[in-house]
Amino acid sequence: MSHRVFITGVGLISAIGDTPEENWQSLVEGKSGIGTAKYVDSKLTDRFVFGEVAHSNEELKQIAGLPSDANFARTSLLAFIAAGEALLQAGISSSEIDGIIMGCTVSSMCETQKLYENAQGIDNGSMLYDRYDIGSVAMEVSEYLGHIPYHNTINTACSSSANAIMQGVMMIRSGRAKRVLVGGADALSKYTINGFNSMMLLSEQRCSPFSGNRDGINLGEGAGFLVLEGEESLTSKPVLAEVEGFGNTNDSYHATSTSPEATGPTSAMQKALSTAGISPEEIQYINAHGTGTENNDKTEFQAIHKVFDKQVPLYASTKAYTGHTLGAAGSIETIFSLLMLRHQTAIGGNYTLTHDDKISILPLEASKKVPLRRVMSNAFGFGGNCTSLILKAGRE
Amino acid sequence: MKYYLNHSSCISPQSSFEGKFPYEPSTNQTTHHILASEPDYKPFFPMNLLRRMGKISRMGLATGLKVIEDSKTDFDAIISGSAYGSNEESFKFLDQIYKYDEGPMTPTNFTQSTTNVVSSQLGLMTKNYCYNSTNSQKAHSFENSLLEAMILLDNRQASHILVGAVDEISEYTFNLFGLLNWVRKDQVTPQEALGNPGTGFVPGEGSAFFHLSTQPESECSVEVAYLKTFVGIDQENVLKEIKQLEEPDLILTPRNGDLENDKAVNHLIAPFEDIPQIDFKQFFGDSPTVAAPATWLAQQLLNPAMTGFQGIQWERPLTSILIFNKFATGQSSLLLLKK
Repeated sequence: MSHRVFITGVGLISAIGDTPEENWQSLVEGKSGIGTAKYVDSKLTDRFVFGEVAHSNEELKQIAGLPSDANFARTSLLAFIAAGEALLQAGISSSEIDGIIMGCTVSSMCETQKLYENAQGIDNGSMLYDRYDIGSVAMEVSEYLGHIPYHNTINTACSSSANAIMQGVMMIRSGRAKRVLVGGADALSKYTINGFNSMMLLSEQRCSPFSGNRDGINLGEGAGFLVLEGEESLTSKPVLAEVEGFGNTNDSYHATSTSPEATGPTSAMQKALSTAGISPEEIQYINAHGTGTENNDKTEFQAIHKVFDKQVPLYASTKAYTGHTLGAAGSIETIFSLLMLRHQTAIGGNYTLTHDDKISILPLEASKKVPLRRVMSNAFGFGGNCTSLILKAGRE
Repeated sequence: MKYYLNHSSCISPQSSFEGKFPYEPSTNQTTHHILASEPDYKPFFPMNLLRRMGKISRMGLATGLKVIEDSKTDFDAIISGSAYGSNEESFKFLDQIYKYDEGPMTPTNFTQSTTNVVSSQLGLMTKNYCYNSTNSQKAHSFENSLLEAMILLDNRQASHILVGAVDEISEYTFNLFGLLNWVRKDQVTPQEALGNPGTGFVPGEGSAFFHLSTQPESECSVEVAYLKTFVGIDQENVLKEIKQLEEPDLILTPRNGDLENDKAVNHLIAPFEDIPQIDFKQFFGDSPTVAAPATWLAQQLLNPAMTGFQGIQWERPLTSILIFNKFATGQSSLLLLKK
């Protein structure tokens, strides 16, 4: 049984790049991927800005090495690309993977028009009839990579893929798996865009999490995958980082907003610290959930303040780069955290911050070189689902 | 480590919520599917809340809350599974999008359509701030939830877990099943379908929740002795896996009246014809999370007071039941329960 679980490969595609390297380049250069969406089918692209991956589905198929007539929805294509990269970096094939565990909320529902017709029993030849459900992408990724014997998908809304990482870690720790592929994927869709718009949560400008002038979310899309391996199966492999701590709690306050006491976010971070067996001052950076809504950012800062008290570490949200990628956010931001550890660089939001009475310590604005040993990554979702992960540099 | 299912609760096309035994052929048959026999929800929800709840919420929350009430336990984790979540709410929201051409609309259907609605509402209603999760992996949504609960116990991250699964047959789901040729075109009950195999199955719906812990907590406790899921080509290994298990007293088998499915089941189960078998989908119809009601049924059959069921009599109480599940998505599972 492995008690320590390491990350040996990552793959990532988002609005700021097709690979982890491209994403990192954009982050350090302060290059945001938020802008006018070209590919998603929604009227609301006239009004709001998004973090859209800069490729058509045809181009994504090419990147994934698929023929142009391959019938996959955008979510799946994003997942294929990121999952393939993760395996490549870890230097393993799908036959060495015991399971795929991913987060997803949209799946093939991003083909909204086709779904709308199919759901009414209209046969439009979409051939996606059994792939609109959340679990379809994991099954497709398994087939795309070869064959993986165990598939699971978590849908805890915006914390889905953070929970997928956590479930993968616990599975290895329990001795039920040696290596797992964990991550998340979601494409932009008319369904979620209208969903967030119906709640009046979308912003017309690039989002500015934790800033006094913040006015909402930019939805984004992407996929992030990580290969997790237990200590025993590592041998002499290079290690990117260790998943040292994890905490999953529920705010149990309201279906779509967080509690004034910040109960869930506070206890998720505390739980992560306690599973890692470390004290708050051992965290040097927090990759905050920071969606850019009034409610989330105020509550999250309050929780950070409660947990870290007088020693609030550097913190920032990377959503002003990628947008909120929903089911993929937890895994994408965990990979960002890993890259920060690798490059010993704390990423700032790179937008002008204005003061907010409720947020007494502002997030990091400009990225900077700084010694980083541990980074915390937060992901919170509708339904009160709160998850916090702690990554530790290297393999000491 | 050992794992025990303790108090449980089930809403299905049968009167399972009331714990009625033995089964009667269901009267909830509509034209092509079999609906859940929903209980009186008044003891569980205020009327104004009930009116706004989708079926998946009603069924999932009532079964979950009943387990919480009966077990008198403080749960430190809530895990549920659902293949389709609230397709009914999803479709209502989709319909709004097209009807209002992406104009202003009410968010209720959207927020109710998230798959995690059952786990999170169970947390909210019982003020449970602990671990909370939802798995959605087609016909493994229940099995994976049970596995997640076991892993949580392995990691000592929880000690009393509320775990279950729920799925509804909405018009949307039924239409998609239709496009896949998964639905029997003749108007038969699941029982009749078994005796008269054809193409497709009779879709059903339901919910079952359990209290999982590492100690037997009540007289009804049964041990989860083995759990494994199989996808795609690995389904051929089901046979090999059963052979490696201690021979169970009874096998619950997944025949559903679909020729292709039943042929595959017959092939896999042929070496075990000496072990009594009961086709469990005749009671519940077929659904991706039917393994949850099947698990509830197996737990009832392991009650020492049971002397027989559906024409099969046993001389001494059953000590083990193997649940073999298989669904049209190319997914199978084995779950061995022991008294």
